Amino acid sequence: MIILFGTLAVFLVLGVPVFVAIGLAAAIYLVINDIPVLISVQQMFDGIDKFPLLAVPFFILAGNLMNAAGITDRLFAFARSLVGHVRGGLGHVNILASLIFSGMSGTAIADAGGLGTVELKAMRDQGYDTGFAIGITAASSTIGPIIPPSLAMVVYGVVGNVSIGKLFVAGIVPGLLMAVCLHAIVFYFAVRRDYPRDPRASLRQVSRTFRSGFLALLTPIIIVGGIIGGVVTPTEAAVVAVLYALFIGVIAYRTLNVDNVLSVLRESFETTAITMIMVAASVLFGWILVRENVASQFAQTMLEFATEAWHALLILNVILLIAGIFMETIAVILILTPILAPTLSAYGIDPVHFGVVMVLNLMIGLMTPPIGLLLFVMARIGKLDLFATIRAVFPFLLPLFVVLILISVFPWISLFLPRLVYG
Amino acid sequence: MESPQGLDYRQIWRELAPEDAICVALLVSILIVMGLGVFFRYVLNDSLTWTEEISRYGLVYITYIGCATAVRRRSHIRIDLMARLLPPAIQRVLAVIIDLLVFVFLVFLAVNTIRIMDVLWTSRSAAIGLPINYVYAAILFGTVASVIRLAGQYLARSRRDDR
Repeated sequence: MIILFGTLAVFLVLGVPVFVAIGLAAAIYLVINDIPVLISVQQMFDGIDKFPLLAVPFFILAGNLMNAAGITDRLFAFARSLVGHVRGGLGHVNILASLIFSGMSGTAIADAGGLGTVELKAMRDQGYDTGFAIGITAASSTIGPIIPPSLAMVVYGVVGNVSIGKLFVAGIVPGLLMAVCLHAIVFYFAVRRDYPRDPRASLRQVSRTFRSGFLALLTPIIIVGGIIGGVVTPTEAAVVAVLYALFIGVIAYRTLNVDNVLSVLRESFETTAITMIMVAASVLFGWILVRENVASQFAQTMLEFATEAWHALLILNVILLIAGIFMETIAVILILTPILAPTLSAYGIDPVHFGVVMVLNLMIGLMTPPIGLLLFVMARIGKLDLFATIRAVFPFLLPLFVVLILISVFPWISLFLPRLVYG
Repeated sequence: MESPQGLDYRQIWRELAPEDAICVALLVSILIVMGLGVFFRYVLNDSLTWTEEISRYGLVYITYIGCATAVRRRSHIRIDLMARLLPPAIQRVLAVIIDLLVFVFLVFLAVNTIRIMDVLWTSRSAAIGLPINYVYAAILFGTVASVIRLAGQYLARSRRDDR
């Protein structure tokens, strides 16, 4: 077991691609322990030959298509006409636009890389300091994977054998809570630093931006509503989202042509392959963990340390935070979910609740050095150096921590909606 | 015009390699097949059994063929935080060691895929009766293509050094 985790750690630290680090560590373990190695290929095949995983390419594709179709400008204009007149207006607009966009995109990176560019530019043009603009853009994009659709939740659901529909619905209220807390911190900074505001938009302006963005605004309603209403499964919702994005971009707005659709397809399959091959390798890794009873041993150890469920949840939060800071999001979900599953059932922690907690932890990790992917994206699109970006993002971790504590302490925040919907 | 990931659109056309074209075609295909599945289930109230299976297999192909794309473009996710702190000379050595490990793993997969295909040659898929080896072949094609892309980078580099 030490060999398995030791080789994995060494490979990861050296900078070996994550799928090779996981797969090779597993392969070495198989060879050393004389376990038939054919299991490796079988697991790396069965692990991704799963229907729910088809949501992965389509949610990636839908988010990228929406960005390429230029719906981000319309969303932003609509959000601006609604909340632009509050002090620190564009900060609030930033949060609201990200919240709406999170209902059609499954990753924080798509939110930051697409909508984020629009948000940053508008804030700079109005004289906001780059640091504040970058901080709030990064923080607001982490709402993306909490509100459905969510790539992270799909992977968690598949690996942990948890209903993806329930996970999606469970993220809605925590996502809204994140938006509220971010609004609060923006308001605080806005008053202290006397940030500008827009003149209040007239009702006519609001209705104009609403009509211009109407088709795009319908997307979250179709996806989230369709899943809550039980009309579509999450996988089907992903397909519908892509078809709808194509309809908007090609027919309604006429912003998509062969060139940008092809490039979106290209990027999307690459992101899909990169994600899925990690899933494949992790399934093999997870198979070894189950075989060696690692997960139940971990639960045993936990039971000796922590007597109550909230102690356990606190420890799990710390583990997730550390893992999220030093590892890539999907990789953490893939490795930790099978290890932690028996612990959850030992303490009676609902795996749906835990899924939301886990993803939020990892979103915080996405915003922290050394490997927070979101920092790199923000530094690139904001043309700011990495250290300045890290400093800029730092204060915005506070509202996320507040939400993390709230949803950890009060499971019903995540759970009442899925209970209402699924009974 | 820049895409969300910061790629130039024209450049994407120019750089569309065979493995990319295959994956793009597969992605479009599974979108159509899945779209058909949804259409039949809701509009015609008649589930198609084969759409799910075909789509899953398409995704397996995208995963492994797309792996070659990510090897070529060096876009596989890695945690290169340690490497950045090392002196450049050691970084170069480390890069070679890492590629060697990638190579070993890819070959390991390729060899074992051939071995498992030897075992599974009579197995067929549940819904459409497709020989399961046609799908396992994705891993073989993908890993071989990835190895070619990996080796290609070294050949290109040595050719540059010769000049």
